[in-house]
Amino acid sequence: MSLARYTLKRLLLAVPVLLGASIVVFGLVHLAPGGPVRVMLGPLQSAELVEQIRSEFGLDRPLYVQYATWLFDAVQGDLGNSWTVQSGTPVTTLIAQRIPLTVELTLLSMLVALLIAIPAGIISAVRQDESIDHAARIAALSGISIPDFWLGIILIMIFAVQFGFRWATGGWTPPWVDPVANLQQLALPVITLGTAYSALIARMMRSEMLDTLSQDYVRTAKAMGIPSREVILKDAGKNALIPVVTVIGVGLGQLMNGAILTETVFSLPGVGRLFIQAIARRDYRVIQALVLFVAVVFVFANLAVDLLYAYLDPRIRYEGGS
Amino acid sequence: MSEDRFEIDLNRREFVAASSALTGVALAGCTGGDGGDGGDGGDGGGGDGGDGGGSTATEAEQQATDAQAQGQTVRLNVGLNSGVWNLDPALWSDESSSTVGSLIYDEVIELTTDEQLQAGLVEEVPEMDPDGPHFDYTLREGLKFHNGDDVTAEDFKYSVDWILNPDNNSPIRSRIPFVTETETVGDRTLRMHLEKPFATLNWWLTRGLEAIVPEGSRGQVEQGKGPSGFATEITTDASGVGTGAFQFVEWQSESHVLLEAFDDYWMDDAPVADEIRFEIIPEASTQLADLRSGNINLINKVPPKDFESLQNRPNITAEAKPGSLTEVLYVNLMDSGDNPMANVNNRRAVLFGIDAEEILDEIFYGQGVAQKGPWYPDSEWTSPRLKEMDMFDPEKARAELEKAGNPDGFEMEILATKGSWFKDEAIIIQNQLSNIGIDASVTAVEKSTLFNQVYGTTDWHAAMEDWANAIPVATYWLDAGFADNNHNHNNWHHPADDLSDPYEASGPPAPESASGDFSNGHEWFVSRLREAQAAADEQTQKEIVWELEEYIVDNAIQIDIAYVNTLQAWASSVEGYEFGTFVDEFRFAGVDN
Repeated sequence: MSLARYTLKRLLLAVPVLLGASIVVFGLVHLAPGGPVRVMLGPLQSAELVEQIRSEFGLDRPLYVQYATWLFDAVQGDLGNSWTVQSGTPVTTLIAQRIPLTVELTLLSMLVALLIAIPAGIISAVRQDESIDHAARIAALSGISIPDFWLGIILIMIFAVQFGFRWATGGWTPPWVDPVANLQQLALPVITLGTAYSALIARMMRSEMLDTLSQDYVRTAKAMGIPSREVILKDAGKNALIPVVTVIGVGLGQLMNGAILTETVFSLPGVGRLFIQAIARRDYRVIQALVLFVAVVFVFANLAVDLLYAYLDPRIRYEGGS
Repeated sequence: MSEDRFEIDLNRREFVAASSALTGVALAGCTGGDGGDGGDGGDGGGGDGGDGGGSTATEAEQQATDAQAQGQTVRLNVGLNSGVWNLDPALWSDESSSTVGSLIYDEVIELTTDEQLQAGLVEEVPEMDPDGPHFDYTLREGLKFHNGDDVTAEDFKYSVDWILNPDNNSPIRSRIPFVTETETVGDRTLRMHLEKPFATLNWWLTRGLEAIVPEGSRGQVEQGKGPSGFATEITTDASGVGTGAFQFVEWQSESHVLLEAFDDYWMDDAPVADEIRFEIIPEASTQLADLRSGNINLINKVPPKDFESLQNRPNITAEAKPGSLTEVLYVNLMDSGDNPMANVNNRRAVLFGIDAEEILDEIFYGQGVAQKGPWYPDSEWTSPRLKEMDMFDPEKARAELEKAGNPDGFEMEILATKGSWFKDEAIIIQNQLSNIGIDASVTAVEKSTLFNQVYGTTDWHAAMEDWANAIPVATYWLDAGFADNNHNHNNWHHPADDLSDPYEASGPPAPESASGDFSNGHEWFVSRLREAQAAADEQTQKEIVWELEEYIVDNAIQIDIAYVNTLQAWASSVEGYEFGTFVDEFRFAGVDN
């Protein structure tokens, strides 16, 4: 099977995945108590008006009819207008306004995580059971254990309150407006989000590296007199990276989930905060669109990882096995 | 960066304590969403203009002038803890929208921070003409909309008529009561004809008519922007349609709203700032850090637990004022199913079994005042008899249980919103009531579920909520909370289709002293309230108000617990800002950026 056919097959398989995700979420948000109309109108309006508006929104129709209507519009690119987050504003506009921030936050967090984790994992494996290994493992365990929001608040306390750095409480200036301010404002959110993830990758990198270093070809290479540095970085390191790449792919999705809390703590107007707002205000259309968006990110990140495999390991082909 | 920021010194103990507290706040915020820490009320509430009783704010003006002379933009950054919902002044019912909107639009009659009436868009506050009766409102000369157009009597008429038109479902329609018709008289005057004498209309208009918008600017509801009562053309884009001190620039939901000074504003000395940017910062901890680091200049809702520490901070001013938000235990008067609250003695047992002071101390860190009836306890509009009463009296509560035939108490359910202080309040009440034998369970639900249940069904016992008063008029408050309107939260007069009679017999009867033929107490209550509203004499109004307040307490129609203080904080670099119980005054606020 050619790479193109494999890619096409994976894309086709993504369709039922996305459909399934949208059906589950559609059902869940509609089954949750409360609804957007009463949330929007508050207690000042009558129960009759609430029912009238529910009817105008089509919320009194059977769920499968509502879903089919939504799906029919969605496949044509029409995700409808927001009801309660910003009434009347197209959902696509709301999401498009926020995607740049969340994408930047996610990618920078991933970058920071990799810059910390891969060297840390390699050093930890090479110096197994030495002080530096213990220190790296403790740091990794701490990184995994500390909740994102707590770390974020502590960083705000230190940098904003104690040292008075105005950029430390977050906010977002687009990089095309002021790249320096942009990087300053994202520094702490990126550290917050990237730390936990770097800990996860570092542990995995260490484990894979230890496994690789014990392989015959590594011993052979060393016996042939190839410098250790070259063996570690070029041979062992590259092979140890292959399983780590899988985690990195899945991690993109995890980072997007982590962005929900990080964006809230740092007042970043990204997709994560939109999600929280949409849930709180029961804006079904926005929730549904965001779930679809996250599902698409997951599916394509995994596809990208699978395709990357072939590049990293030439033995891997797509004829149904390696 | 100012040097004083480096002087903030946290020792280890303070740091750990603050971190723990902040973590709690973050968790609550992350799980509670919008309902975070209550305060959403129902009667509109807080945050509007008024000129602060003639504040001169010369220091602020001087700062602003200096900065502007140097080519700097004087921007006031204000932190809001919840997002804006609706920028149409005929439709908004939340505090954030009202706070932002009050700067985009002007009231026809303004309420000042010291609770006086003053002319807004009109030349003077008119008196009622008993001939008719009617009020004549004459616009100031030279008023302009932000789009440059003149404000005309036709625009004025359109704005009032739109709210009064029942097809538009404006939630504030009930705030312009007894107006039967509007009529333009000349180029600048609008006459409002009344169904009956209503001396306090001007007070009601401070919240009933928060803007004049250009004729036709709301669009045809049926053509487009969503169901009536929900959205219009100006719900998300108020560009050009305001007359206020600041004009709308942009709104990004859950991020910010940016306003800039309106050069043709009718007040010569306002606005002082060039821009106001409202930052939506849902996390209280982040909001406080933003204030302390100088990112924002002002927050208009300080969590009670943080207030004292903010007061002790250098370069920050933190002030408390009596609030407009009341904590209330709604009780369902309807005799439906096994509802124990249908029994007046059971209700009175609950009333006397609740210690409001403990709730204030535990939840609000003492920031508030325990109520004695529906109105402010130290006001002359509160009944002298109620002022003398001990509202927390366990012995009296037990006696009421005896009278109800429940000497060992009874079981009841209290609804409360998840992730909010309402749940904490309900749990304290649960403990307090257990001391007199009442077995109360607390059920936490989503805010919208609670609203649906309380306002749409008869299937509940009690609900813990708050309710924001909008103006300092007792007759208004009694009307908003208890007269025949849509937001009846005690099922005293329930308009649901499943009831044969909206005035069910389970409500208390009219008092024996009532003169007239009333089928039930609610009918009498409304009748007496209308008498008070029509009375020109203040003492007459007061005496009726006292009588109605006593009736509410004696029959435990609703269990009013406490008015919570409004807590605000701002950087010392802010000058000219004032806030009051009902309104905030931003127009004269400047800041040394």
